[in-house]
Amino acid sequence: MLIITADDLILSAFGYVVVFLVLLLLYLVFQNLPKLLGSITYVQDKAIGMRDMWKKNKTEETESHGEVLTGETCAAIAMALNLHLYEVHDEEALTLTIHKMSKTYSPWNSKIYGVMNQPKG
Amino acid sequence: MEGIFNFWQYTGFANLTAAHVVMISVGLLFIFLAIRYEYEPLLLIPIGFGILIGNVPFLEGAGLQIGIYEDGSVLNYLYQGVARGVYPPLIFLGIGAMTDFSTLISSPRLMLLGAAAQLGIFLTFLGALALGFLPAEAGAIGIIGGADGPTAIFLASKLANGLNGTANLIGPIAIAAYSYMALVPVIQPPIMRLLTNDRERVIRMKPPRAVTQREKILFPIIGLLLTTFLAPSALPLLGMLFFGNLLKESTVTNRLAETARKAMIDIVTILLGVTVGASTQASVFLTPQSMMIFGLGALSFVIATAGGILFAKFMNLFLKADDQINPLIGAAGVSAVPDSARVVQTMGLHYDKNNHLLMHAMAPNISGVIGSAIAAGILLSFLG
Repeated sequence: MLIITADDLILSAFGYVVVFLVLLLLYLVFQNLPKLLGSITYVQDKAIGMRDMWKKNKTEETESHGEVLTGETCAAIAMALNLHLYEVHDEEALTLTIHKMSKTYSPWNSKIYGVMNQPKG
Repeated sequence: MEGIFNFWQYTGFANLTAAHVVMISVGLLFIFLAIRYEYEPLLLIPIGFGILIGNVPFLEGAGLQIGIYEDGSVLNYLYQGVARGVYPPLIFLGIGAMTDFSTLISSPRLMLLGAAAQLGIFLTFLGALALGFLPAEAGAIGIIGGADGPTAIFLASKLANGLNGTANLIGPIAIAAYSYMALVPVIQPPIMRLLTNDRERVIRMKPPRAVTQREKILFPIIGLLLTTFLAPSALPLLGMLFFGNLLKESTVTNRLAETARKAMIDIVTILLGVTVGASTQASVFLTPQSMMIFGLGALSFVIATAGGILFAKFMNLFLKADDQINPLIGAAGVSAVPDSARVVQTMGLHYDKNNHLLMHAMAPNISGVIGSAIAAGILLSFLG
């Protein structure tokens, strides 16, 4: 015997639609979030640029202060800093460690060994 | 002599029934599958051993306080974490702290696959009603289609806990949910093959874009507010999920994130697994209702998988040829993280050795977790 009422059908359909709507909303937000964040960054960059320009006019310093750093410039600076901080050759530890060889054989000492062990007459 | 007789009365041999033998066999099967085939060993070993613990026969009603359903027993105290829905949010906290949402943030359109796969929940709800379950019980059974063990336990503990005029279905529902999660590599591939053709299976998707740290930090905050404002009943699960993720992504609470994703989730998994297993005491578990729940659970899982795949194909109708979605990843819309994503990856590689779908499949997989938690919240608010 089927015990499904109209209310149950409505609940199922409504529930499924709500799940869809919530995730659709998340989708829309995160689809547009990079643009929104990009706009905020742009506004911030612009504000920084304006401030620097204002300083420049005020103090009549060099023109470079008003420039907004481009991505390439930032990447170059980051690379230079990285090379400077991490890629510079370290100082040597200056610690000598003498390992005792388990087997001291080599062609050199074998020759000496041969010389020293002359057949006895 | 009478003392020896009494002792015999208390032993497991004197109280052994066929039902105990069946359940002990099931427990042994779980342990065998976990060790021999490595099917979700972290779940099946605790659950399998829990089944053994819960089905060692003893003299019930003798006031020994050893059974999981006997007030005052140690197992009963541990079981309260399941019965009162304490463990699932803690598991979600750990999942949040270990999950990288980058793929989801970089391809938000794939969230819709996670939503589509929740079809299994609502159709199974109707199926359970048709089989004569009460609405609250049917809601708890339907959530098995979400393929999310903690969510299933959470909802069952609220809707079908034996206290609100319903039968206590927590054990069967939890076992069904975890069993089907473990059997993802067995259940999903035939459906995936059935619903896709050779051309679709080798579709290559665009690599996901890089996601900024700011986006990763904003995701749990925006995600929490958007989802729980619409479905507040999902707050215990989604609140902890997003909180765990913020611990991870903020990068200033590494110690907390580390604890949540390792020590804490391990402890809770042990307690959850053993107590869920032990809750399958033969006298409570082996009922016709349990068998129906297993049948409905399998059906639910199949529908959910099909829902995700078919919706991916539907989306492809509106997408440009060079921006198509491989429909196989729709199968990952069920929230068995990361098992179903792994199945998608394996299947994708089977048809094209250079087509790695794992990253793409993680997006619907994670949105499936969110979607099933929202579905649980909706069912709870209607039926609770």
